[in-house]
Amino acid sequence: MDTAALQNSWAIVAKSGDEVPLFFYSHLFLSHPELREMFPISMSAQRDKLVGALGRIVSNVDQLDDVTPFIQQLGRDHRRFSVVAEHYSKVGASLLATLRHFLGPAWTEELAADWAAAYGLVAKVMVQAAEMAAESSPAWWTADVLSIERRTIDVAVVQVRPQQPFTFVPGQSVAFETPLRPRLWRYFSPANAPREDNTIEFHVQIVDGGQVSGAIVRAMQPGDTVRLGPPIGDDLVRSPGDQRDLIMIAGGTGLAPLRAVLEQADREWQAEGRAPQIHLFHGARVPWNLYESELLAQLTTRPWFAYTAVVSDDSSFPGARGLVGSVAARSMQWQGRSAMICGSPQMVTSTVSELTSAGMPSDDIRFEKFANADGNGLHPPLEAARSGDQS
Amino acid sequence: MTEITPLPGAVRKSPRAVRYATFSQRRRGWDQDEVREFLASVADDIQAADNERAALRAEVDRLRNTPRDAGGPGGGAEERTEINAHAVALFSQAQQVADRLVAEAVQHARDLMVNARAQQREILQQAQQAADAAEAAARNEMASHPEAGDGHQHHPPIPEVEYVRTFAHVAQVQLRSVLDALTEQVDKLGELPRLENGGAPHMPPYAPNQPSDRPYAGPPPPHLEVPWQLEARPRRPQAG
Repeated sequence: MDTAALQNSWAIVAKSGDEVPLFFYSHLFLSHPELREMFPISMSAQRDKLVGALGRIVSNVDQLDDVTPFIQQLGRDHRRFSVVAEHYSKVGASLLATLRHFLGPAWTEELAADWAAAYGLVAKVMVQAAEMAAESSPAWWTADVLSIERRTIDVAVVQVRPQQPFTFVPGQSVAFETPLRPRLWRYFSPANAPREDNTIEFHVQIVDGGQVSGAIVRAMQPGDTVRLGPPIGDDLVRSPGDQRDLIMIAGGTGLAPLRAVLEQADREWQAEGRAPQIHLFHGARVPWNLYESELLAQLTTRPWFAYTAVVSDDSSFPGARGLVGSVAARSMQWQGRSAMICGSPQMVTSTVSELTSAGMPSDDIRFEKFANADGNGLHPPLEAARSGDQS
Repeated sequence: MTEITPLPGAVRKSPRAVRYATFSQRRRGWDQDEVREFLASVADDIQAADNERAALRAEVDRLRNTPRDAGGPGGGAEERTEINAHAVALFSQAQQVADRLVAEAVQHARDLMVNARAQQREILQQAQQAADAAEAAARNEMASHPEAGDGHQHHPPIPEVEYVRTFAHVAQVQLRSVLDALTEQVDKLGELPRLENGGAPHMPPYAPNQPSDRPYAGPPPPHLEVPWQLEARPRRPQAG
């Protein structure tokens, strides 16, 4: 296999930019109209994902070992989209047709064979990872919606119970799909430590112009079912018993995974009488969106917990005002602690830069870094669903 | 055209076996030459059919093994299964139109929400200012007529306070309904027609099984459990 030829040809194709995925998907759907159902109406979010990821992987196929974990994760992730082995050959055929279209006379028999072989390798890794995962876990979990409690105009707390056992650790995230918005998956974090009765709490904030969050907050009903993907992520996970002191900085419903970690620490404190010092800064634009302030204020009765509410858009708020990241950085509470940050992408970016410029070592700063955050997902495994994101 | 009809259950005779078949002699039998001639022609037919069948099978295999869309540079394998580039372009255009419509609708909804929030902020600020002014006026009143308040009594300007309170309440209700109406519009974005398998697109009725609205501040649903027992005491005193 001539990997240099693969890379060169991909570089030529990539020059056509958005035309490439457009051609690819049109070709795929014309060849196999039944596949169109697996994708949302608007394909714009899809664009650079499938072809981009495939192109990058396939043209780096000589370093397959480096990208194997990523490819395996992709394969597992795609189970919840009902992707099965036969789809891979259809995708492969359209990929080759796309390459041929954009390469024109540069498309030779040898190049075609190399691309087919490289794609075959990647598809095999994905299929095998998916099949292995299928032995231990379902492709998705069906969960019953138990209640939707609307806390503010914008925020609802949703309780669900998966129909099969669902194992996660505090701080992880879960892909979530409601039948009200089929094929639009969003990531949410369980806001609780695992419970005896297997129920999970999600915090959902309406995103302006968002298609999913509004439906969840306004239209979902107890008794509905939703689908959950497998739990992922370890950036906001705290090892049980870890006594490292923490500063937590949350924007809006970015509170959810941090609340789960707090509950985990509190359980340890109740059982063993030991917990790290934790200072939580929770930021919102307006005071009433500090939707969990009652519980958090109660929690300050714990000797290890401190809570600072921060409001950015209401000059009459009596407490801390400004961006939560700036307030946290100025407080110097981060000294000697490790930081956990969760919120909208802009909030996380600005908080990380505030903390580092205040002098916090970046190794001590933790926030969600999804493998696909660089846009490498086949489907978008991560369409950010934190408050303040685009949909 | 030679038709190959397999003989069900029959043991197939090769052309050679037919051609050189031997028969025992009988009196008043058929003319041997005629029989031989006939057998030879049958054998030829079988041979021709076999050849044709082999050729067809090879052709099928060849087509099956040719990747459908991976023809050579000259397009030697461009068969009728080929997806026409013109069709791809048309399909792409349609998809782009759909994408643009959804994006515009989302942007429109977002703009409206942002506007509504700005208005909300403004109204709240006005209410705050009105309240501050009312409070200051009340203080002045008290200061200029200390005897009226018997020295220790509040002298709240009831109408102003009531006005501000009502104003704030009305503003809140209005904002809530504006936000709900907007989110409802956004909800409809998800109700675009779905393509059924190979069928024509059909329009689903607008959100038939969705409630038109949910009460905003209804009582919280009964707790399914106490998720996090804050009042619990540690079972052991805190270490160290």
